Amino acid sequence: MQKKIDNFISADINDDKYSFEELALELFEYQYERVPLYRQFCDARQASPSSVSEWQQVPALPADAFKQQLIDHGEEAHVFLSSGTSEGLDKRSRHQLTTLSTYRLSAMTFFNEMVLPDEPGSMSVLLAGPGVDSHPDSSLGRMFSWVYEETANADSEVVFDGDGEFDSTAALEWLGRMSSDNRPVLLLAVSSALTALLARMREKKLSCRLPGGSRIVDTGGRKGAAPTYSAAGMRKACWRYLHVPGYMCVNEYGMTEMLSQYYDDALVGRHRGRIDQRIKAGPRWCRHVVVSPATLQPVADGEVGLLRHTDLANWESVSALQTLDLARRVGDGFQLVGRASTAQLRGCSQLLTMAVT
Amino acid sequence: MERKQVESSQSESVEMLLRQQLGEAEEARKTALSTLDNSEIVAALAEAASAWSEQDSELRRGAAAFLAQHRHMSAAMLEQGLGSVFSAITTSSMENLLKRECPDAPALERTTINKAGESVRLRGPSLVFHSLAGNVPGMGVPAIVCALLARSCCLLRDSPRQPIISGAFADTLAAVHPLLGSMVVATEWDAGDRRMESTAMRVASRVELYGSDETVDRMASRYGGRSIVEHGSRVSLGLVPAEADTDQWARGFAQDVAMYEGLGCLSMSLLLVEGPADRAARMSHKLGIELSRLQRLWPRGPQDLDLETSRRAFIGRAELSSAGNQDELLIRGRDDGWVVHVDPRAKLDPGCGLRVVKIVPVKDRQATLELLESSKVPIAGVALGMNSDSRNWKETVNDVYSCDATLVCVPGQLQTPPLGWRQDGHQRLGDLLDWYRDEQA
Repeated sequence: MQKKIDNFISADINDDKYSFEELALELFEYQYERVPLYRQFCDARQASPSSVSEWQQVPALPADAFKQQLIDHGEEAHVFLSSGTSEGLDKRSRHQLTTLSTYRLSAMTFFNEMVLPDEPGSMSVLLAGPGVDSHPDSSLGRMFSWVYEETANADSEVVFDGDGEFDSTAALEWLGRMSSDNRPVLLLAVSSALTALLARMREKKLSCRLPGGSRIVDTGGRKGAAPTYSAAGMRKACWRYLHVPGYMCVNEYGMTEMLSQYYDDALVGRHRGRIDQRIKAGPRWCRHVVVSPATLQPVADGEVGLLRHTDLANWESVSALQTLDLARRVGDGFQLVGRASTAQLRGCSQLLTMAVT
Repeated sequence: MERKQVESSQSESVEMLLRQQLGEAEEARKTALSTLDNSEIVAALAEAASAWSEQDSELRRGAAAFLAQHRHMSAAMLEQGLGSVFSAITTSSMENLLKRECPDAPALERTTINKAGESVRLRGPSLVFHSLAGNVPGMGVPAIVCALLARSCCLLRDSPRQPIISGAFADTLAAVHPLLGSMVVATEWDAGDRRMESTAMRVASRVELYGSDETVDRMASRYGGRSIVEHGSRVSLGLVPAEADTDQWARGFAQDVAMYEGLGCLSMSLLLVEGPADRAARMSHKLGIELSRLQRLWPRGPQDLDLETSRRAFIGRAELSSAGNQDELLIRGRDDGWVVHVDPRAKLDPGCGLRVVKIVPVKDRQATLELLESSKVPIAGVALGMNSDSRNWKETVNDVYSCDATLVCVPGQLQTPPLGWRQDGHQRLGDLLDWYRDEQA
C-alpha cells in the first residue's frame, strides 16, 4: 500500500497509474481491516468496503479518535503527539507510524510546491518553531527539521529551544544581519513566535528590510501571544516591520492527525501570475470537503462549515477525518474561519511556553 | 467615523426614548399604587393572557410563525410552548401565588400600621429590570406578571434572538388595562450597547439577568457590588425509578427533549433509568420512536453554527465511545434529526441540546443520588417517570428535591413550570416584596 501511495505522491499529475478515487477506496478497505476502532465506527454507521462506492461516502472518523489507541504499531513505532490541549497533556492526540518516509515525501513535496515554487535553492533560514531535536514528538517539528535540512545554508539559525522558549533577541540580531545581505531568507515560525517577534519590534520601534524574495511561513494559530493579529494584520505587520510583502507570507494549516498540509496559495499564485482571493490549497493526494455540522452534507460555495479531509498520506492510520475546524468553502480551496468554540484549544503555538526572552 | 457618529446619535435617541418611557411608567405606578386592588390587576392580567392562550389565538399563532422563521424552529412547537406560557397565567394561578408568597396580600392594596406605629405599605421595588436570554421564548411573561402584582414597573430587555413576546404581551395588556400596560417597558438592544445597559442598570431598583453562566457573569462583573439575581446555566433531567414502567413515559420525555430544541434550562439533556441495564436500552428505543414522531410534527431546523458544531462534537464523541464500549448504545434519527446515547459513564451536564439526549442506566436509588450530587451545574427540573399514586412517589420526590432540584413534574411538563417557579427555587413574587414607608402617607 505504501508503495502505491508514495508513487501517487511522487508521480507527475498526468502520469498516474491510479486515480485519487481508486486509491481512497482501496485505502478504506485497507484501514477498515486494520484499524479496529475505525471498523467499529464504520460498522455502527453501516458502512463497509462492500457498501461504499465513492470516496466521498467513506466514513470520516472524528479527529478526536486519535486520543484513543487507534492502532498499535509496537514499540518501534514513531509516535507523534499533539502539543497539548486545554484538557491537559494526557488528552493529546497520538499518531503512530512505522515509517516516516511517506510523511516526508508528502510534506516536502507540497512545501516545495507552495513555498519554494521559484526553486530559490539553499536559503538562510530562521527557525522559530519546534525541530526534531527540541521536540521529537512533534510532527510539525519533524517537518520543520526536514525543511531546515533540505533548505538551510550555513547562515541559518534556530531560535526556539526544547522548553518552547523563543529567543526574540537572537531572532532580531539574525534579522539585522540578513537585512544587509541580498539573498532571500526563509522565516519558519509558529504563529505565536512570529506574533511575539512583531510585537517586540513594534514595542522597540524596530524594523528591517529583508531582501527581495524573502518569505515567511507561519503555522499553528496565535494562542497565548499578545498582542494578537488577524491573518491580514499579521501580513501587514510583516510588511511594516520586515518588509516582506503579503503575497510572500504563507500560513500553513496542518494537524498531528494528518500527514499532509494545506498552505495559503498567495505565493504560488503570484509565481504563476495569478491574482486571486487567498485560499488554503492542499496537495492532490489530500482532498477536503466543507460540510454542514447539522447534516454532514457539503455546504454551498461561500458557506461556513466543518472541514473534512481525505488524506492518502495517512495510509497507516485513517485517511478520512472529520475535524471541528470551521472553514468557508471557496472554489477548490477554503478559508479557515477558526476552530469551533466547543473544540478544545490546541495547536503548535502551545509549544511556546514563554513568548519573549 | 461618520457611521460611528450615526450609531452614537441613534443610541442617544433610543436612550432618551427609554428614559421617557420609564418616566411615564413611574407616573403610572404611582397611580396604580393608590387606585388598583389585587383583583383588578389579576383580572387584567388574566384577560390579557387568555387572549394568547385561548384556542386558535391569532396572537399566539402570529408570534409563533414569526419566531419560527426567526429562530428556525417549528411553528407548531412554538405555538404549543407559548400556549403553555400563557395558560399558566389564570385568575386562580395568580390568586394562589398571592396566597402562597404574599400572606399579607391586602397590604399590597393599602397602607397598614406596623408594630412601630409607622404607616407602611407592602410592595415591590419601583423598577425591576430583566435582561432576558434568547434561548426560550416568553421568559419575560411571568416576570411582567409578578412585577405588576407587586406594583413594580417592569423593564425588559429582550434578546434580539427572541425579540417580540414581551412587547407583544405588553401591548395586549395595554389594550385591556392602559395603566398596567404603561408600567411595562419592553425594549431590545444589542448585547454590546453599553450606553443602554448602563442606563437600565442605573435606574433599576432590582436587576435579574438571564443567560449562560458566562454571559451573566460578564454582565454582572461590569456592575461589581450591585445586587443582581442571576438566572444562569442549569441542568434538567428525567428519572425513571426502578419500580416504574419504562414505556409509558417515552412520549413525555421526548417532548421535554425536543421543546425549544433543548436549549432551555428546563430542557431534558439526560435521562436516568434505574434498574437493570436492559431497561435503559429499552427506554432508548422507545424514546427514539417518540423523537421520530416529533420530528415529523416539529421538524428540526438548523440552529446557529456554534450550537450545531457543539452538537456535532457531541455526536462524534458518542460515536467513538459507543464504537469502543459494548455497554453503550447510540441510536439516531434520520439525518441525525435526534440522537440518543446510552452511556453508563455519562456525567451530569447540560448537554448540547438540539434533540440530543443521554440515557444513563443506574443500578439503584443510591447510585442515582450519588450522580445527582456529583453535578457541577445546579439542577433545575426533574421529570419523574412514575405514577403519583405509586407507593414510593413521595419518597422519590423528596429524594430529588434533596439534591437541590427546584422543579419536579411528570414527563412532558418540564417546559411548563408553574407561574411562581424560579430557577433557583426562590419565590418569584415573594422575593420582590418588602415593606416601605407609604409614599402617599
